[in-house]
Amino acid sequence: MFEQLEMTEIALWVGESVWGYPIMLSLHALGLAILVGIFSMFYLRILGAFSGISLPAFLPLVKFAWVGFVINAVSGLALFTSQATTFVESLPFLIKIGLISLGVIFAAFIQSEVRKSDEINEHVSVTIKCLAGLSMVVWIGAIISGRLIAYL
Amino acid sequence: MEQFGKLVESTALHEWMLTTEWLWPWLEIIHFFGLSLLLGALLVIDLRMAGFFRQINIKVTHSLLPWVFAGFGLNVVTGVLFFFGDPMRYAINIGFQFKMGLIVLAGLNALWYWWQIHDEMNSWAPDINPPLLAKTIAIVSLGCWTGVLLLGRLIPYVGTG
Repeated sequence: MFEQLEMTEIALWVGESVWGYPIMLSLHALGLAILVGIFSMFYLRILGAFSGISLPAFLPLVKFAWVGFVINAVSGLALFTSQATTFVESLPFLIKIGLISLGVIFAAFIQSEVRKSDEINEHVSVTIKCLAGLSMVVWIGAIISGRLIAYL
Repeated sequence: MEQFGKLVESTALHEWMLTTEWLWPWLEIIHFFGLSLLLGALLVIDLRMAGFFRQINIKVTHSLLPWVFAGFGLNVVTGVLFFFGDPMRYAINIGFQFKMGLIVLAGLNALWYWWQIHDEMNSWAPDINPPLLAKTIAIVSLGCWTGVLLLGRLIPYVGTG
């Protein structure tokens, strides 16, 4: 199945054209910055930084962070197809996918909890604070394992 | 340029960058995290200044600035180390040259903000739709930093200047 994936048109474009791979890599870096960048700000806010910005006011911006996720899902899939058989056997890659899944689940849960709080009664439970801190660790872990794919 | 490259290559820092195992990948990881902090905080500040997300009080968006500087600081340090590790590859690389140019442009744009907008901001309402000049500066800022990021990733793939 992964061999077939490597023979698809998109895989050949990414793998063999001059600009396919660099373009996808660059987009992947941009999506990473949008996603991890905005999530980091959101989680730092939950943990008590820049408390002048109200937490509910942050939510539309967090929605925007998912644009970064979409950019990276698309560019990541394109990059994956070009070397699918190698990637599925790469330990850092598998760890990265695991961490991203965890990060997404945490993000969805944290967002839904924060949505319940309002301007006046801005209560964030200790659980959510811990989860926000843990999420930052998870995303940093995803960056680490992602970069190590090229080295291990 | 050649001489400058030789000079850098004669430093102990150059030696350290080349001989320390796993140093390069870890610095890259820090560089990625730094750019995430930089762009993440800037997206909040600049998108608000460009007129989006008006439920965010514009006057407090600047409390995110320390995170912009933290990200920038991490990336200057790691970036300078990359340069010391392989000076001749970077110095003549057109992607790197344009990237440095864009960083300077982003700096000038920030100064422009400081001269034209910063003081005026005190009189703004929290939910203001900022004036055109402020919006322009915000968009130029995001444009510059997006360019910096994309060009940085393209350095290994573009030719020499």
